Amino acid sequence: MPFAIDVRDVTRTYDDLKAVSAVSFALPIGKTLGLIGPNGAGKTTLLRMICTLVQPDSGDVLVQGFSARQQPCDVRRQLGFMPAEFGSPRGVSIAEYLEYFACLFGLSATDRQQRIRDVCELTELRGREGVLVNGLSTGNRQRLLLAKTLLHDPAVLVLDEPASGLDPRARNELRAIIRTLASLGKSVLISSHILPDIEDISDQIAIMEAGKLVLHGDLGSLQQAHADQRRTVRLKVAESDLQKARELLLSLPQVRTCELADRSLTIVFEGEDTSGLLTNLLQARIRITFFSENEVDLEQIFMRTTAGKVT
Amino acid sequence: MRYLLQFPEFIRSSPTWIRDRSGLLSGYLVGLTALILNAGMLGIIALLIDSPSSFRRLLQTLDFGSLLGLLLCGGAIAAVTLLVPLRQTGLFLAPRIGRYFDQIVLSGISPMRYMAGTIVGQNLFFALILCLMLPWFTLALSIGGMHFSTFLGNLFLIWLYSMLLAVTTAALSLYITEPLAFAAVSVGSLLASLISLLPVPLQPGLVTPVPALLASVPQLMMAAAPMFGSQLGYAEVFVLTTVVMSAVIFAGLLQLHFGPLFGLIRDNSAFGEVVHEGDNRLKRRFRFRLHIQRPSELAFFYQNRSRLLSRWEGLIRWGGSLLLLGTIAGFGCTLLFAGLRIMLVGTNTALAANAGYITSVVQAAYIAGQLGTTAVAVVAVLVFSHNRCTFSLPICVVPGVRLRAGTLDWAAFLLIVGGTATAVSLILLDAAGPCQRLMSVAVGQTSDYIAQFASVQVARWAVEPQLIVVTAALTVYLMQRNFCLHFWSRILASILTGFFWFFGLAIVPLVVGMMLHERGFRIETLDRYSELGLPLALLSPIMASITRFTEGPYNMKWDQPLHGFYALNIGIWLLLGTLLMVRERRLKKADDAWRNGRSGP
Repeated sequence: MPFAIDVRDVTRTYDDLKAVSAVSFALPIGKTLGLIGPNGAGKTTLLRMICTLVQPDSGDVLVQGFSARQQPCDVRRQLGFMPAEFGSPRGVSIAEYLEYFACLFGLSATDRQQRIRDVCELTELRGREGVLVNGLSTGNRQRLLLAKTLLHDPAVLVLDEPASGLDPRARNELRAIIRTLASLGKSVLISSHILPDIEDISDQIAIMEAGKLVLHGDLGSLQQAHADQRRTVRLKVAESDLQKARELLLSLPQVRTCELADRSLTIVFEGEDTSGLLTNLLQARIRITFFSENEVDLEQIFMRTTAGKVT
Repeated sequence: MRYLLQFPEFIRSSPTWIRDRSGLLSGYLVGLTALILNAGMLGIIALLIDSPSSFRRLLQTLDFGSLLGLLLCGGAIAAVTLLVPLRQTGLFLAPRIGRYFDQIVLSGISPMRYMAGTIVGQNLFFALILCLMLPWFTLALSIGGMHFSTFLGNLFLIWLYSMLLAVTTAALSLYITEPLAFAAVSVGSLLASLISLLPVPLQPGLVTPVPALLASVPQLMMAAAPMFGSQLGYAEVFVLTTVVMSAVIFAGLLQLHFGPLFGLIRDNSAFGEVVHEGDNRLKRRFRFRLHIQRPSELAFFYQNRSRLLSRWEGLIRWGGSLLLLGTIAGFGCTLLFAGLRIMLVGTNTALAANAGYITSVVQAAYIAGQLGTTAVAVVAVLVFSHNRCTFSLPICVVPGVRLRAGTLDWAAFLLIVGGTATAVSLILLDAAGPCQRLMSVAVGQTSDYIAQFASVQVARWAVEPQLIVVTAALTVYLMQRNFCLHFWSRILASILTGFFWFFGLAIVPLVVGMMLHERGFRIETLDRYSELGLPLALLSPIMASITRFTEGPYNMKWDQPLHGFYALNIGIWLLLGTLLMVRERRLKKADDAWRNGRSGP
């Protein structure tokens, strides 16, 4: 299977500090990988190694088949890197900023205007091209950074903390943009502290701690792997049926606990199948108004996997 | 032809050109430049009118049109000298301060395309200056005094000069910070302009349009002729200046294309974060080393150039430096050879009998030779000494052949310094016979001072001063290499080398020795050792050189033995050579261990 990014056993040491230690993983083409980890886990160093801004002490990174060590210039042309920190020339407008970077990427005069229009459209910056960059809100700066990253239509996107400092609405919009990019066939590597965002947009997850990769895989399979034998469901029934339902559920052999609180029942049971519970309730003519199963979320996986160690 | 056709697009798509273009057309900048230019012009004219006697004297030599033309072109040269290098200071500084230089590097843009924009952008600035001065130029041309073609020629040279300043500042910015590069280029150009006010042909001022500007006013040339002899005409000076400036621009562009020594090693292999061995044990404030951070970032930037250049790195870089330095040295040697020939052929017996004429010719030739070799040696010491970051890098000389940067440095240094000294010696030896014959004519005609030249062996003069320069150069080089392996900054190493050599080995022995010799201390105990003064003073290479040219005190014989000088230098070579070897071995071991530990593909 061809990989957009193939990290092969990379290690990076700063003096006696091992920032990244023997990390290997691969991101298939067209997929989105969320990289998470506590502060000081080595995420940014890893991203900078992928982008050729830090040279690994050992190992190598292949981006679209190009070696970051041997062919840094080719790697740079394949990548769009959105840094965590915003930097720009002084006193330029959005249009000037984008034109400057379009020139850097070597777009011809005719292509430049079209590309700038396209990325402004995608990042919803259309109509604001004349606004000075220095006066932009954090959300718009992130949009602009993303627009800049997309100018040369890179096959691989590396986004470092794209949602940091954004309000919920802006985060939501950014997630939508990233989803659109993924649907366009871009391979995206995204690093973030905001786990629900990562969970929402990533196909794969990689968790780093103390410079090491502690977990990597598809989100679904990770959730399955970390699911307990005991599962939890939340149930709401008609108020008159509450007590009856509780007694019925407690009489079932697979149910361990059934707590009544806030006019709903929280049931902990063993096994995989929830249909047995529902069938019993329906046969007893209990009216169910709400049912939800609490799955293992990314935060739980993260908390279980990491111990809060830093490099 | 294809490249020529692509050139406009190459420039148009340069990001720095786009930035410059939008910045230059601002009303603020146009207004400010107009204000400065016109205020400067009015100021100069007011000063001239305020001093009626000088003004009258000037007008006796020149008519008002020529004077105004000179002033205008001079003003344009001054404005360009100060403002063009200043405008180049944002080349790397602005993106580094604005924290987007990493984005520039990651864009994959080639360094040449990035920098070409700012260099070509200077044309806009030059056009702006011309536009603003247009009323003045029209006035100068309409009242006469300067031909239109000469005026256009001068403008062309000023344009070429602005390009030279832009390229030189950019090329220098690869090694030192832009404010320093601006200061060096501006001050250097101003000095060269001042030197070129002397109407002497073939002078260093040819890197400025000033000699051509002076030559463009026939009255000035005629006024200077009795003092300086025949002068070159405007056409010759114009062609020479164009050739010299174009050559400097070409060399600068080559430097920009090849960039500083490419290479990333353990200690600076992270863009913008320099962490060295032991940093974690030191306080945080020692962690940031800005002088290493910048070259490291530039090294990342220069990864964007063609891979072909990396494969021929050694040949291009060291070979190119040798070629450039060798060309300059060769040009100097040719001048020396031709000058001596012309002088000797033109010297008849009557002229030779003139007191001191032939001795001054010979002395001038030998001093020129020695100064030339010294200049080449100084540049070679600076160019061929890589610091501890880069000295052990294996460099691909040609595909398949790798040598360490330090080894290449040694080879290049010895080749250029040895080659120059040998060439100068051979030229002087070639002229030794005729000189000796002509010198003997002067003997008996004049004072003892001249007569003592009869005993001078000119052939020995040709070799020994060169030997002194080479000996001192090797000592300086060894000091520089040692300092380079102890410091991360080559500039700091050069400053220390200059300081220790100049004061420790050149000035202190000279001053103390001469004070002893002349009983200058006026202390009885010290006066008893006055006979030690001269040998002590002769340990200094300056004194050793001076005595070869009989410029020492009158009561001192010129032919003093230099055993002490050579013994001291050989001793220093042994000491510094040993220290260098030990240090190199230790650093190489660490670097090799690190390289071997990497498991690259």
